[in-house]
Amino acid sequence: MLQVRFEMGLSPHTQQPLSYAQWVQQKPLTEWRLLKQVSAEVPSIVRATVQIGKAPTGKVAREYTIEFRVWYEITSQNDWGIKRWILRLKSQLELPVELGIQRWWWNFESDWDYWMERGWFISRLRGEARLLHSRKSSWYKTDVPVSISLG
Amino acid sequence: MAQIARVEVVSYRDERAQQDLDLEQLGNTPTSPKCIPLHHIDTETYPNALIGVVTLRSRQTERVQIETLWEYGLMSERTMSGLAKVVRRLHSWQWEIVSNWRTIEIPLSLSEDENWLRERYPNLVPKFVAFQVRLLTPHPSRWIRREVKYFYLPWGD
Repeated sequence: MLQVRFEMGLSPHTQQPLSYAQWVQQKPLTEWRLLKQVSAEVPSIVRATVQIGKAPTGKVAREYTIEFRVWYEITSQNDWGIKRWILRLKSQLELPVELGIQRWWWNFESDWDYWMERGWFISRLRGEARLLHSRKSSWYKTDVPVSISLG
Repeated sequence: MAQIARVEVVSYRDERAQQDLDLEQLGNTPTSPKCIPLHHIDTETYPNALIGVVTLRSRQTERVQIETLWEYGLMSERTMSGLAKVVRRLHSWQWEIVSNWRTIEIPLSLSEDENWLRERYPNLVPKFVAFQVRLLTPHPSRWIRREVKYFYLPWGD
């Protein structure tokens, strides 16, 4: 019923990550690529989407109250067995059924650099959403593993 | 210490197509759209999407938590005055790394919300849509509010 997905912004001309600043300042032509895992390159801008799928029955609520969270799993650069979960974003929203979609975007590269400089690296991105109204649901989760050479 | 340097509400317009953009169209136009700061909404031509923009400033690199809130104020359609209901649409808390300057954007799909509000509250109409923001950590700040008022034309005009 609920879907959570992550995408990274690319410049369609170069297929290189679009910088967060460029998106904020110009809203240029952007290709949003679904993130199933992060590898090879660190995204600059990441977009999270929460979407309500079609109800399995004919009875559809006109609106939903949703709780949404984005977590980072961070791993110690010295000991990959040491991990912590860091909350990046949490939100509560009334989502009208006509729309059925809500988005957030942020500077992932900046978060990556922050934790790298402090002896950690982001090893997983997790989005989770649940309905609070018209019925309470369990969490719908999407995990994006991060495997980037620390060089 | 991090501070909120600026808060505003904007919309985007594709000047070539003479069209206000909805959220799906952002990043889909061949030329960069024009950013328009909004202080009121003309209900004859109102925009499709709004973005709450927060600019944070810090002299040193800091991880800060901000709280943002989008809400609608509704008034009676009959009297077109007062405040009958406030609908809390989107309430978010996010942790941002601020190194010198950082701009954060919280989008809202206005045109879709209008249909929803009309159906949910058939006797009410939007009076304003407000974007609010405050810092929570490292030190709490007061709410900064930007209210965008709806302008209605009198019947018969």
